[in-house]
Amino acid sequence: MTEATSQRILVERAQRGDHAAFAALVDLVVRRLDGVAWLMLHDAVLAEDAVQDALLRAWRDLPGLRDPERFDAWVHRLAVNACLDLARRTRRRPIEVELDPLDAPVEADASGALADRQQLEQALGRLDPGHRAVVVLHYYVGMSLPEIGRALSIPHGTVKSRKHHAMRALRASVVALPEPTEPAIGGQLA
Amino acid sequence: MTGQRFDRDLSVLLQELGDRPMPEYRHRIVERAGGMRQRPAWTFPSRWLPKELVMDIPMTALRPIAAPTRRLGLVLAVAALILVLLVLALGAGRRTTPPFGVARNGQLIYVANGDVLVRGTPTSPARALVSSPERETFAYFDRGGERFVFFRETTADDFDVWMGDADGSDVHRLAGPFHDMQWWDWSTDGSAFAMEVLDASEISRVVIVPTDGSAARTLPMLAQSPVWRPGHPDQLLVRTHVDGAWRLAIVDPATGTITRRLDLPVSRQFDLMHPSWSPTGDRLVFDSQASDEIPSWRIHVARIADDGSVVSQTPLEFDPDAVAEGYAAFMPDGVNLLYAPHYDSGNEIRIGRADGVGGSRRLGPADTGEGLLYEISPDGTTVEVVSYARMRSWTVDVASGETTDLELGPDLPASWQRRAP
Repeated sequence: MTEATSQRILVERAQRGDHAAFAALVDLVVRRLDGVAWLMLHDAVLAEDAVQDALLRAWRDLPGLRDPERFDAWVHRLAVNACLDLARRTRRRPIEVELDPLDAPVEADASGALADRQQLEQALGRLDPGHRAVVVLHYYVGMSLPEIGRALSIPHGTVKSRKHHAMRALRASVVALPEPTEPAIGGQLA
Repeated sequence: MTGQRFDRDLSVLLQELGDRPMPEYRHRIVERAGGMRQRPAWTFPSRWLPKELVMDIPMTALRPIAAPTRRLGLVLAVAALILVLLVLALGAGRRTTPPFGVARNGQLIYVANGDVLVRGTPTSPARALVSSPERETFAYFDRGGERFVFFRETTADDFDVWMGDADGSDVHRLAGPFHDMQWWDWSTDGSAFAMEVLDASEISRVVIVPTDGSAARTLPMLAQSPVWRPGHPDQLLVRTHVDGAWRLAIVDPATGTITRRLDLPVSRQFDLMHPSWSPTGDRLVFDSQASDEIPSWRIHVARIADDGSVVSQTPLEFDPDAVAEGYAAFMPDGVNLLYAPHYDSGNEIRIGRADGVGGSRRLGPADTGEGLLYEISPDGTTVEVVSYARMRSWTVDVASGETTDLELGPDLPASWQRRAP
């Protein structure tokens, strides 16, 4: 039995009120949803609220899901919408990222990678929640643009537009260095 | 970060950012869900649409706008309850409640926590009309305000139809079990209750349940959206599939035969949806697609002669920027339409003249969730709105636009009892 088939069976059982099946579904998706919520909100308490809201709605409304195969897309949609609700209700503040002190010498690559993540995290936090949702759903969850349109209930053109603007803003925020070139020797290219 | 790295590794970087430990709070979620009831499948408006359409329509467009007697399908629809004039020849001085048109607001009836409740006004205390160990769902007064029908679950998807007097007495079973109700309407004289249900093959059927206890009968054709025509107790309008297309037709409820097929243009699968009569029965409002895009509904108003022939048909478009305009119902005055448009930004309830003159105005707040349900008060002064996405309901004063939050729960809207003016 494939993983998709076993999940579908769990969904069908949960739709009929099988609580154990729902618990198994939660175990399958909660970590991913938590990641989505964290990327959207960057606040552990709010992320938990959003995921909890989404999964409780999922339990309540599961009998209305016509196609069990769509469970993943559907529950991600619930989570993103819960995050958007919370993002709009809570006071806007820049997402602050603590820069971890480097206590010991580390490999250059590792510290560079850490800095990249922190830069990206800050840049992501500066995006409008709707734009952030498109980036998270496309690049983190892996949804296609039409799927994102359905998830956010916006037209395809709007998804493309938001992606374009979000990527431009992210790029402008995080891309600070020129493209790598050969190291200069004596002020001249080798 | 270099541009090259950004373009190449954005997904990887986001995976790293989002990589968190397995949340311990998942146990709390499961525990809380254990104490929550699931919504019955039939309360989802999406159920009436084919699966492939449901998958392709943004959920906000699919939310049910429950009309007082409307389907619980995908898209929102709540049409105003059109009541038939009940003439009670019981002696001089007795006022009768008109079954359609303007009437006085009576009690509100609704279901919460598996019981049927009533309130004198939207904000007054509730009292139980039916409370039993079983789970009651859906409750609706008849057009004369004398009796109400409600459902009692037999399984998660199946239900029996029950009836009682408006004071909660004489509660008795009428018929059942039925499966997955999508749409309903009281007959003009209160002698029967029509429903669209799904048969064992998930095919839409219209069932007529007499209130005198005689056997329920199913129309012998694929049919949806039954609506009795005001002033014409022998005319039941249904949406049925004939000659290769979905069409609107008038059926004789006594014989179950089509007496008239409405000569309205149809070109797309989801044309001629969500029909609703004017209080005088001379006009019919419905939705048809404006393009192949889904949704793209626009409202149409057709004048229908007494014999069912179509006199004229007028398309309406209140706002060309709306993604879809539909789920319209006539206000009790027969002059205005209440309808539920869908925009990129969300959903609204709006009111405008049925002749399209003067545009429309919004009633109450817009909603970015999955659509809105509405109910119109018999006197036409108030609209009750439910947002399933936000699990909230509120009333809107039609004249002033002032809103008042309600605490009725997230189930179907409460509906008003009609009383004599």
